[in-house]
Amino acid sequence: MTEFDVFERRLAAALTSYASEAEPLPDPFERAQAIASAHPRRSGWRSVARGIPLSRWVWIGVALLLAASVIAYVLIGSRQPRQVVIAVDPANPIPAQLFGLWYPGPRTDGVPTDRAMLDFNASALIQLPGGSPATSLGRAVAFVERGPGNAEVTVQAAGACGEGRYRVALQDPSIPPGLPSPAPLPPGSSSDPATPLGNGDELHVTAVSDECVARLEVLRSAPWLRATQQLRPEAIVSSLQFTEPFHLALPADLPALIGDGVGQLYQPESATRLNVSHAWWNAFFLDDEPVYRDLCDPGAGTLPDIPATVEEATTWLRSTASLGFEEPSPVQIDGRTALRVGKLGDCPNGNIPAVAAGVYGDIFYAIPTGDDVILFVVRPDTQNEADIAAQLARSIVFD
Amino acid sequence: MSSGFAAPVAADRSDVELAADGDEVAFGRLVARHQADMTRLAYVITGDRDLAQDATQAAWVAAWLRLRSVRDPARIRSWLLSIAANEARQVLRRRGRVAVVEIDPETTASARNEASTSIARLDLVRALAVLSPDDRTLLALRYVAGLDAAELGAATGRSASGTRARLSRLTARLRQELDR
Repeated sequence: MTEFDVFERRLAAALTSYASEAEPLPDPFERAQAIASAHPRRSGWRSVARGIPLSRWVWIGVALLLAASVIAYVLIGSRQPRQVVIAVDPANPIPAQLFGLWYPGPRTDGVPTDRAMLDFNASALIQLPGGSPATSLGRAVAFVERGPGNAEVTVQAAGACGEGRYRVALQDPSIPPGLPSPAPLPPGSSSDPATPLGNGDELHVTAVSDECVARLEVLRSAPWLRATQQLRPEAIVSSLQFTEPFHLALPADLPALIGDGVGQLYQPESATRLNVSHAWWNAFFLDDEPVYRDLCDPGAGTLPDIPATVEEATTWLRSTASLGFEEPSPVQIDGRTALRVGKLGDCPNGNIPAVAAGVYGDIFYAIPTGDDVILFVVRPDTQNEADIAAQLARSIVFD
Repeated sequence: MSSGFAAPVAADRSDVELAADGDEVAFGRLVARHQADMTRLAYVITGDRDLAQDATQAAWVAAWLRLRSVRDPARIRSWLLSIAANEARQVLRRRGRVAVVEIDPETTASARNEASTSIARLDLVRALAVLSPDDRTLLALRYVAGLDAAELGAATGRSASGTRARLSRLTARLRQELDR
């Protein structure tokens, strides 16, 4: 068959685009097991099976599934609720360092959609291409320290895959192999590992024991990289798993600070924080977290959450009187009126102003979400970086 | 040409053999690798997401039952796609629907603004709606799945030359309707 001509290429592109609207079946491994269980292979059936038309097999399959459901209900369901929930071991919670989505290298822009990802805090550890959870491959249920640089995650599945154990380590990709990782940060800092997991955004997973071949096949992809999104002119980047979902529709005139972007967006520790990371400046989106009453004195107590209105939030920020603040100025963000305040002075005790552990800033945006407020905390070194932060704030579009 | 479909995977060969011997995990890997392709194909044929999923599910049941009959494991992809296409047509027949391609106003509006697809979605959907399921199958297998004439012939039960001729007539008709 000859190559496509111009019209055929257009037709193929249009058909492919149209076909992509289809939604793949969820959890193929679970589906495969269900089909295989409903149609067990028995050699004695072969000659009989060949004589049965395909359409009849489909109905036989459906009938078997229904029969299996009825029998299971009678035997088990009537006595107790059918549950496949696996309890997480509260003594060994998954550490915050493993929070978020991890995808197999090599490093790329944004979160790819055509590769499996890991989520240690989700009901399924493995998210299949397209985002559907592979529940039959299990979830991470416990994390155990085994010594320096040696930690184990237990993955447990309710079905045939059963339990598997994996060694995990976090490395800093900027450090050449063979050199030691930086020493852990002091206890209490936001990035304190508190475990022998290591530092960095490169996750190495090796099997300790697992009989589940499908799970092994996915997890042995290494290294796993933290999902990050490059902030570039005209890019549209998502807020990953941030509690208040939004995306940034970045403007075409966003200046380039490094490469062709101004940094990257990633989620280092929890759903309540989103980090704009750059070699020279950084910023945080913060939601639903306790915050320091006094930005210069973390020991002065905390508020249980960011105040719920932009006016209350700016009043709280400006209550650190020793810093001195500008008057709040309105900023239009996605059709809502946010308030921006910048500090004027420095903390008299020499501290860097902080709103929460590890979240330092000089400029603050209180952004209304409807019934709550998120905080955009910026610590720029130059006016240019402050201007970029303002562009980022104005590019927010809530989902 | 690049299509939205995954390239054949070398690991298929051993997984087909393992799955044919009853290895459920190997079967799971085949499902994971090919189910998206099969669903998209079924969607072009049925024009309905739910019917496409029904067809794909039925296709996997059929595939599991017939894996031992696969003569060339390296060609598992076109084999699976042909099963999915057959199931999609059967789903349509069972529902008594000849042309179920539906026009979704929302996606239509957004697709209208897409500069990347020079054939507008609305025009494409209208053109698909008046085609027979067999013609939609042929289009999907050729232009979405990227099968060649021999594979198309095997998948549709026709000779390669007959398939080529039918496809040629079909594209000529679409060229007249869409290439304006």
